Amino acid sequence: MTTYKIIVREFLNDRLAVIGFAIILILLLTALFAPILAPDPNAILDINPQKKLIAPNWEHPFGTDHMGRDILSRVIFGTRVTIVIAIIAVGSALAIGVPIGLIAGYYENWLSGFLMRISDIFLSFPQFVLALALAVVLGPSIENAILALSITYWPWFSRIVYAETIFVKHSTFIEATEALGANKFRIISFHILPNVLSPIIVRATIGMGYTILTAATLGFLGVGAQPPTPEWGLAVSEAREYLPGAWWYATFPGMAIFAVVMAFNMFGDGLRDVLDPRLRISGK
Amino acid sequence: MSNLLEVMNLSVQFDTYQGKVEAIDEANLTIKKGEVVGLVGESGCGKTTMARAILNVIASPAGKISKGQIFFQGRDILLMEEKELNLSIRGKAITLIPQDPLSSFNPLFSIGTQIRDIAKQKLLSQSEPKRSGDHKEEMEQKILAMLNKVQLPSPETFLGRYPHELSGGQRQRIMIAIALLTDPLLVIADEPTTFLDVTVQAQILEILKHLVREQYVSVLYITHNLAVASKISDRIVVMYAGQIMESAPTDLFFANPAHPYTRKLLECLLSQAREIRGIPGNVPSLINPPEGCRFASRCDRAQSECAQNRPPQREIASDHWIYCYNPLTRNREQDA
Repeated sequence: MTTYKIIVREFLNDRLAVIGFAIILILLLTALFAPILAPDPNAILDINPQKKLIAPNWEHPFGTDHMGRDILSRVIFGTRVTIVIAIIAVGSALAIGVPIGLIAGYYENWLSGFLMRISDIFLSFPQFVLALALAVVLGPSIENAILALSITYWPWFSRIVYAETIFVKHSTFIEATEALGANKFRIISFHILPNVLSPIIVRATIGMGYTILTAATLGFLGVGAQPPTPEWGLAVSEAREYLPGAWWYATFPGMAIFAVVMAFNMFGDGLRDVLDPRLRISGK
Repeated sequence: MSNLLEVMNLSVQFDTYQGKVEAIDEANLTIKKGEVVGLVGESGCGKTTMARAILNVIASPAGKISKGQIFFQGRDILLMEEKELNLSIRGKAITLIPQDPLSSFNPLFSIGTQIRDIAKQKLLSQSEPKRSGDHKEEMEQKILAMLNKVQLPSPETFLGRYPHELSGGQRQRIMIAIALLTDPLLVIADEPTTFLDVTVQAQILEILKHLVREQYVSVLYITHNLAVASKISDRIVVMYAGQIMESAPTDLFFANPAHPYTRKLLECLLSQAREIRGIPGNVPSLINPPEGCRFASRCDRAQSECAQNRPPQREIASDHWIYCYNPLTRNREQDA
């Protein structure tokens, strides 16, 4: 359909968004083919004390860490951890936040007040502090970090969806649809949801970057991923003791975090510009 | 002609931060089979609320129907199950032509997607929905025939377009087509020509009039424009601040308006008055409205009784109903 052609064309004009998209694509492909791409497929567990802290060279382009493991391989395997964290955390935040926002926005009664006050309570804590506290209470592990991130991130979605839903709900076409006798489920899922989708997509994309950053921070503080997981934040944390001598140890995982988070933000910004329903026109 | 719709003693209230708004106060309204009733009144007098009440889609929880009955074909709509209303009343037996044809379409889907969806829900649901093959073809024919009837040139080309690609007149024609697609018994037209310029307005009115006669449907035509109402209606009902003031056959209404408010309203018309006279004063607040007739404070014929008790319904001529203690029974010309 031409609509999509226009969206794609508009998107391609946005250079930053295209760069972001390209980095995300590379991230996904790297995660998919990690065992093939990694120079040392055993870099997650193998320990080689005799090769520890080697500066970048042809054999180890990113150098090795304090256990003698190839950092390039660990960064490559780290993409899998990162993607799993981002998708599960943002996915569950969406699964909780979007229905709550839709229901609260559509019904506008005591229930919506109740749901929104709960969202407000979560939003009134700094999200990172809340996630940190939860991760500490639940015990340090990557699963608990993901759980903490999902539990603290859903109110962002419920807030946005709530506000958008109220706006769409009071538009005439929803009133017309009610007058046509569509039931509530149909109105919410077929008429309101598609109209509030753009901000959800944009928020989710930017949220991916944010979640990756928070997960890395949790890993850095020791309440997220545990050794020997090749998680980037954890790697930066482990590298602290060897700074500034072994600069490569912290630099490359850190650059991976930086690149991916920035990519998601640029892609999200580009999406926001493009996902305007007014761009839609019929196909010829 | 028997009564298709009978609204009896209907009151609608809205909760606002300022207090309870009595949007409709004990209104009675009857629409016979095949009759076109023009519901006339100023902005905010409760016309659209009346339309929404008849479909029982008053926005809850702020608004609610606090009193009254709405009989449609002898059954009270307000007592029907939501499911039955959705299946056989809303968008089926009673359809609505909304006021603003642009924002009444979902902006994300093409016209065709939306019409076909409505047709699928409303035309197929009652009989055998499984026989989809030839039904689909039949449905498509019916949609195109209907679009032809509202005089859209080459309707096929419209189905693929999005709402914002059409003009106001085109959108309103499509809205009329949708409203008449399901062979309804009653069409509620909520100021369908307000947003259109006069030439298009006249065309739309002609189309609607023609189709209404052809399909023998009843119409509740809501407007603030007396001229428009006089063109299309068999009977005119005047509303003021949530109360019905007068109801009369169109010719009688213009020849012999009996309610002081109607009289003043007609004097505001350009063609009727030698000099245009406004109505002094303002519409009373609908929050804690006056006890009696809501027009009493602006009425030059008001007596002490008017402000205290609601005037009862009185038939002053055949099918000419009025709510007034002190109506103008003489001919208007003599009075002036």
